[in-house]
Amino acid sequence: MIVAVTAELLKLRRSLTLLLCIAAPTMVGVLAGVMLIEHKTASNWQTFAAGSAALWSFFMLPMTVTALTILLAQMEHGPRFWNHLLALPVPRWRFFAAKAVVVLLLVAAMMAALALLIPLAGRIAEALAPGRQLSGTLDVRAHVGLLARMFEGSLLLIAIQLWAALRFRSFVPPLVIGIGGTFVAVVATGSRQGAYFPWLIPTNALAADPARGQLAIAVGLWGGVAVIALMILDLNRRTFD
Amino acid sequence: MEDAIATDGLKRRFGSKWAVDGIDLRVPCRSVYGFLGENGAGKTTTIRLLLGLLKPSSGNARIFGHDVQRQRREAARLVGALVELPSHYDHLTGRQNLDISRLLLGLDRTAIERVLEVVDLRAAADRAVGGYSLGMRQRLGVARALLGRPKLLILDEPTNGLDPNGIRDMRVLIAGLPEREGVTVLVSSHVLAEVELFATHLGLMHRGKLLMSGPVSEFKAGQVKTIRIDVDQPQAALAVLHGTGIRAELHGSSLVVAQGASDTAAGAAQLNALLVGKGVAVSGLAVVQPTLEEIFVSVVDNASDRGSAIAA
Repeated sequence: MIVAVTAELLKLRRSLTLLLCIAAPTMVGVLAGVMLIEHKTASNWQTFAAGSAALWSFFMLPMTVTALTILLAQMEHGPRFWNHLLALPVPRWRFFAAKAVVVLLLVAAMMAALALLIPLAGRIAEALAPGRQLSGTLDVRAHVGLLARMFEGSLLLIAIQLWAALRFRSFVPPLVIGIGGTFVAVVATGSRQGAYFPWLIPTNALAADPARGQLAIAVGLWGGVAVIALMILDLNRRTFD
Repeated sequence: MEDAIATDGLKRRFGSKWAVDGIDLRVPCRSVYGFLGENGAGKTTTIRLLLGLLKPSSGNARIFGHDVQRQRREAARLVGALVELPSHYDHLTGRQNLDISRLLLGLDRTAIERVLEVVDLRAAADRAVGGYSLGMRQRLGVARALLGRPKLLILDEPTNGLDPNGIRDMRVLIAGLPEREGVTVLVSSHVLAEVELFATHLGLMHRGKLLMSGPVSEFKAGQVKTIRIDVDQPQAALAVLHGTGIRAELHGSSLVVAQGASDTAAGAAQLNALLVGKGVAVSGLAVVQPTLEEIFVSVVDNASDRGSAIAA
């Protein structure tokens, strides 16, 4: 399994996937900083960090996961590389499991980058606009904990997008699912059931009601694990053209 | 000796159409087996069945005795393949592409240098594959197929889209592989004249069925050869031959006479004597071996006739 994951990581060299993983959290950091300078966010560190994380989880995370899973799947679909991979003397499930591991690693890496970029954006905004000083101090543990819960909650969303991206040779179905899911998430934000909508679950890490937030994150985490297992079973039996 | 490939009643259906219809394929060890047929004949489907990429509707396939379905990994360890298009990661270099397959096969890094040498791609190995010509991509595909020192190499239309130089290079590469790498090679193609130049054995696929299979020599033995005669008076010569009961046809200014396989030399001499004796000047006389393409057309026509007769 380690070999299959290493092979997946080697494929990322000089790829658009890595560029996406750098660009997505950077854009959130830049946007958060600009909003602070424009005085459109609250003026203490905790609210600034939470608002920036919300920007990420609500819109950028689902769209980035959509693009990321499509890019990773198209590496095999595009040149019809499945023919080569699946003819190798390696258990087929390992290729699909390795894809899932790599997506999770990349999303975790983006979350980690965001944990650094958000405070950095705050500091840079403060330096560029001296009148926009953030009050208090950033609770690093709470900040990292929030992003970690968002990551756990995003597992179901990641699993669904990856399954769609690997199952369909065309990138259109996973793209439609990703855009549709993100759009519905905007509409479903206020509803009770919306808490369990995969594209909205990561945002529940910010829920005012901690019990609801914890339940939603658990649904995202364990739902994601279950969907990844189902995905591997399904793809293992499929024929790839 | 055990066959490299053996299939028994192998069938695969897509919807109501049988893409592979009960083929019994035997590919002997150390042969270069030309797997021939027009586009859509079922060659690629057969190859995908042999590689375990498709499940058969019925029948079975064995690679060196290993059942492809039940012992897929054991069979796959013995096979290197290039299926349809040469698939590579365009953003990576040739060497990096090979490195990924090497890693998955658990091989030493020296394996990469060895196969680059075999396909003569060392000089371009550190360039991004996106900038490779089609011929280079095909050779990189063959290199990847050879990485694990397979006993069987399956190449699906390896000369597709290549220019004449690329085709010649690929032909030389394939023809040398059994001796150089000790492999059995199965090459599918719809360009019969091309395969005729390097295959030791042939199989003819048509509409999912394997119409003929065997050594090239067996294919050609028993085939009706023709004698082409260039004369100064074609019509008069035709009349002479018809007058003696010999079936002949006029092709331009030449006469074409069909002969059996065994008596062509004697027949040619007799025809020459006959025509000269009747005052027809013979300026050229040649025994013509049927090309693979002609054999193929003849076999397919016979099969179609049999099919029509059964249907009627």
